[in-house]
Amino acid sequence: MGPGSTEEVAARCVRVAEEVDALVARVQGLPPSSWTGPAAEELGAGVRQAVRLLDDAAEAVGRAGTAVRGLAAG
Amino acid sequence: MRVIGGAGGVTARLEDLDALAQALVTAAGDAVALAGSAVRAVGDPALLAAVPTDPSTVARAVAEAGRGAGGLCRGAGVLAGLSGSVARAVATYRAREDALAALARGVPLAAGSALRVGLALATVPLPGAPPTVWLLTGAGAGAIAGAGLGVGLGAGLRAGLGAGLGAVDPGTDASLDAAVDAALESAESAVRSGVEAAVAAGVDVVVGRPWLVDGAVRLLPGLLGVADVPTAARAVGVLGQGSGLLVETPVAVTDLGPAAPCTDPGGTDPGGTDPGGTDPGRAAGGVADLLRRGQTVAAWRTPSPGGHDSLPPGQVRPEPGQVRVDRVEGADGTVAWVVHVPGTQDWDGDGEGSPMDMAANVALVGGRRTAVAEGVATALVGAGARPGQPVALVGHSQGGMVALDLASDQGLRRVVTVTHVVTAGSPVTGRTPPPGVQVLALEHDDDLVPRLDGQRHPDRRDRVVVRTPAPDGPWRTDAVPAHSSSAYVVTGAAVDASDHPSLVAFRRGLAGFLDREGATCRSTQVILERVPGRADGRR
Repeated sequence: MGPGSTEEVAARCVRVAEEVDALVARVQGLPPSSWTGPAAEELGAGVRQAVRLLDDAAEAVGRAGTAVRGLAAG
Repeated sequence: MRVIGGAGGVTARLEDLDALAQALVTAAGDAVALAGSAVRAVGDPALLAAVPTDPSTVARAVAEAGRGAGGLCRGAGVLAGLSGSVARAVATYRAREDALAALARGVPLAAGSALRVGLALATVPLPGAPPTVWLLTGAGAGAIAGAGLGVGLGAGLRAGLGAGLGAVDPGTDASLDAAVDAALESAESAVRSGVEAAVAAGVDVVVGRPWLVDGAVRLLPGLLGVADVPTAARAVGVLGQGSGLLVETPVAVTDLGPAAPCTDPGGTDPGGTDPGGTDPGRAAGGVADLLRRGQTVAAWRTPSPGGHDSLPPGQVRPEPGQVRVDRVEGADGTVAWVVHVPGTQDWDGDGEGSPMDMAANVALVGGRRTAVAEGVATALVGAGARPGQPVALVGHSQGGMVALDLASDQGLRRVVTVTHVVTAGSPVTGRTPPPGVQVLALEHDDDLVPRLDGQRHPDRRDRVVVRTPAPDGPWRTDAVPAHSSSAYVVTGAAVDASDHPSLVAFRRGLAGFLDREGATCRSTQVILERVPGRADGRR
């Protein structure tokens, strides 16, 4: 990706945040909710931990985009 | 106590687990790629050029992007770890499946040999008994002889386990070790029990205790050289019908009196002391109570010298063909029904007497509708059951097999909604409940009968199997104590007290059939009896 304006940087950050959101949605469907039992619960707990991390990451990248957009506006 | 299946069981297929492992590792890769994208986004020269004018904003943006990239990498690590765990579980399950499949291949061979021994024994006529009894006695003796072949069978099981274990390193997989140990211990326990029974009582055990033949029917494929039980049943059915030995005739239903309050769960009165009275009656308090109440119809047998399944003090001996129908009404007016189904009572299948006979047995294992199902449907409707009201079927030994078959009966399902089946000491492994029916199967480790179908319980969400050693008690004096219905009542109490997720979920589903604040229970007793001379055209 070549150099661009700060608006473009902000847009890239927002796009990455959206892609992370899409990844979160995908991971949230794992394992299927129809799976039950202790093993499924353990697996579900692991997936929830991953989702929390990815969710936080999406927000952080989103905040980066917001900051850059403010820079562009200033 | 070991619990298989149900809400706490593993319900995923291995193929699904494979797909999950793949999805997790793909997601981990995508997360790492996005971390790179986040870092690259803020590494743009345009942003760096803004440092002199607004360094703090640029720093905040870079820091946030870095935080996001770090989170993505940590998330990727978690996902990759999960993927590895799932992949390892799949490998373990596959190895275990292979080991148990090797076991399963050995059992039918041994059983078939045993039944051929039984057939040889059956050529010795019993004075005054019809030929069907000779055959079935021989089959039962064959089952006992099968247990007597324990040494050879045990060796086969060990060989099978060895073959299955070749796929994994048992020294590094504790869960597989435990699973295999449990399988081996269970198999050895069954064999030991059978050998002890055979030595203790010999063929007399079979003659005096025809219920031992219950499960021998399941082994008919080995005897007849056909592929499965239904095929064997059809073959026997054709033979039986052609010879006139197994006649499935219609059933008449006779009420034993008006509905009476269900007595205290600990009581022994089958209902009938207060017909039309004001006593609201009490529904069963749990699985143990359900099984105890079932004894009022199942204790039809002649008590053995050791007291096997003898009636509790004060209980009236039920009639052959007696079925108990309990109506449980909650304080909110919801109605549920509990049907206690007796086991096989008539061993010659001559079209007379109790419909719980060999003709029904053969029809049931052949997947055909029986007059018993019509009789139970008539009894339920006569007692006031309406479509949509839930029904629980409860049975011990052959009664459990009949209960599970009734749950699948289309005619019965048109009249009521069977939602639960409880079996104790019944060989029901090969019977699949229809959709919407939850099954609880209790099996004692050293009870030979539930093992006679020679199949392994699948881990299914709609079937909870409890395997446990038989409890100690007075029934220990009997030749084969682990099959006693009284012993299963004690195991039922352990099920009631268990906090295993599968059992908790099953009991929750059973709540509408059990005692609770404001609930009433009234019991109807009916006699099902074949109408002689009116052969059923369905055969």
